[in-house]
Amino acid sequence: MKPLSFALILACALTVATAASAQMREYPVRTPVPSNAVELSAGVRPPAGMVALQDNMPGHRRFKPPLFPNAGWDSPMRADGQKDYDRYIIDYWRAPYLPADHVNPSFQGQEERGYVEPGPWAAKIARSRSTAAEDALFERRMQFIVEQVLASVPLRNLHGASLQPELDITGYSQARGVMRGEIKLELHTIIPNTGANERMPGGIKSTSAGPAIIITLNPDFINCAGSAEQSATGARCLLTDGRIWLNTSRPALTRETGNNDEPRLAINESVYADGRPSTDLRTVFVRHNRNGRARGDLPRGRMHPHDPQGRVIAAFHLIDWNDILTRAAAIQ
Amino acid sequence: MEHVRPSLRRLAPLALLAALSPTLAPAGAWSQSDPYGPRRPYAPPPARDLSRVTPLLRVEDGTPRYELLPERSVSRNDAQNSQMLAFSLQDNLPVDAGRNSPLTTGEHGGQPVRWHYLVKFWEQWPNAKERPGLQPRLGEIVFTTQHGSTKAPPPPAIRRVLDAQADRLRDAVLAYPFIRRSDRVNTRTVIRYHRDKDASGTEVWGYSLNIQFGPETTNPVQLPDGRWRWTSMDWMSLEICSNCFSKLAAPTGRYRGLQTMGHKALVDTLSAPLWVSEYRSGQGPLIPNPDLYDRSRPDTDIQILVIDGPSRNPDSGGRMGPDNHRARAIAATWLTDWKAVVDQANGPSAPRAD
Repeated sequence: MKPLSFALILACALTVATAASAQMREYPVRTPVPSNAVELSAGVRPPAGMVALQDNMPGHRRFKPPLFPNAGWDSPMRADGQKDYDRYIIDYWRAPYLPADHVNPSFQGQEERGYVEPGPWAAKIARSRSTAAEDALFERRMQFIVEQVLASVPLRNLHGASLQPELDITGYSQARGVMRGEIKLELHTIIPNTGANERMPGGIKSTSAGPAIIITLNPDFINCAGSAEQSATGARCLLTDGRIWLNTSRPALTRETGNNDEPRLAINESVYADGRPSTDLRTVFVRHNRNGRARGDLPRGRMHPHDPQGRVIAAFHLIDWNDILTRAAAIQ
Repeated sequence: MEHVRPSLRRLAPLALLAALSPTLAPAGAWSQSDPYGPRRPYAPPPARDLSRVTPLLRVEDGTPRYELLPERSVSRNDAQNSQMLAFSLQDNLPVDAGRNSPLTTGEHGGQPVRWHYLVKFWEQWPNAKERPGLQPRLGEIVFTTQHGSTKAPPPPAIRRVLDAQADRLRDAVLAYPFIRRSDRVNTRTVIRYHRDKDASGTEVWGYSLNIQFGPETTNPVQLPDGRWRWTSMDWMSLEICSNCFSKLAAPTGRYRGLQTMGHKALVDTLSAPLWVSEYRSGQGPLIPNPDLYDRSRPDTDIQILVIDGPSRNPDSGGRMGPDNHRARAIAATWLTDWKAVVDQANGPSAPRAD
């Protein structure tokens, strides 16, 4: 009995390990490396006329081929001339083809079902001059936005992270003010054997820090440094992962010059002094943040789309923010 | 193993194997104990040995004299040299200090009151004199309150009301014999008026009354009444602040019936709660009520009074002797019935203090 059971458990462990590593395949890079690329030590500038060989280019000593097609050095070009390393993740989430509990051998726990707190979510209402009716209206709108965002494809069947929406209603402190609020959807990464993981009815609840989608209603400041794509309904900040939605006929955005003569979009604060009710949504700023792995794994195309960071990037790009926010602004 | 069923007995080695090899045991990842969960409490420290204490030699002129502690490898501290306190020979601490300090009571209580042994001494021996052999050299006491601010004072009608309140507060402290007979210390009182505003913008009149104690330094001048005046550099102050919203800090229970905020005492005459949660919806820590002041009352009333004595950072080892001006000011902070003083200052029509 004893040797038989020992061999059985050992065999199970071996099959799991080999199956997991066999599921990920590597794709050879097709895009040629620039001819003037030169491999340099860290911190050394390339000579005039040359560019540094990046670690996502074949030939670099730390190069690893991407794990997904059209990723890494094969990523498409953006309009501003930079490589769009997020694109393969966005394309994947348009039509996900991997099972939800797909095992990523590099990151344990990504196949675990994550806990998503069911609504309605308790908002933290600051003690401000806003009335209870204004707070309640804003809370309804924020609840609606959270519901819609959580129903998006990358966040619908959450694995590898747990999510407890945080709703903050700041209100206003001046006599004639504008209601402000913030929604934070942080994907707490599930990491086994680490931190205070808890089994909940819907999945595992984690407290580890993770990437987040942050939605600021009527912001007084936006971080939109670098190049930006402006459109009729708003603008997208290419460098700082932000997107501003506009619901006003006044000029809401001004172009400024930052510290290093860098172009910058800023909120025109007089946009809120338009005499509309304080609860009206004039602008909404949606942004997401990146963890450290986005700097190493994304440019190489080695980040799994099911990674919490991949879900956040995909949700940010695939959600029809104009539709959701227009409907939220119409709630009374 | 006789009481175990035979089928289970055959499985016993397998269960033993699973228990001994944690790598092969299933579902180990989520079943571990919570590292952020409540810790097992430490064993309580053993009670202090108070059977061996320094004996009381005599009481002369309202002053207790205890036997000096035996010489140890380290020199005696101020409290030990004063011979005014009973010391435990077990840990060389005053009997009422250290672990025997009482805790604050009430809703947010449980904080140790480290300066309790000083308060208790002056409560028990209010007429205690200086150490034996010490020539008392009493400093000047300025009984009139000086205006200590460069800002313009409030209108005369307002100022008369505030000054009448401040005089009561000042007299409550200066009435103590142990304050008047503080050795080699100049005493004076300084007032600064201000317009105070709570977080919601209600404005009232307030003032900060500083009763200051300046130790002897140089240039002694003897005054006609026999007291001395020096050029004092570092004035230590007992600050009594009326209607100072910014002085409110986290509540820490009650000591001697007074509300405490750390080392500060607090008296209020308000019906509204002093502390509310940070968010309207109940989350967050306690913060001072933004709608604190009652705008229906006269704006010169004492609505909150914060007594900020020098008990900040008292040494937990009970090293401070009772016979210095800092210990005397600590005692005056906590021995005064500030509620009665505030009720008298506010007049009979105002709400009672708590």
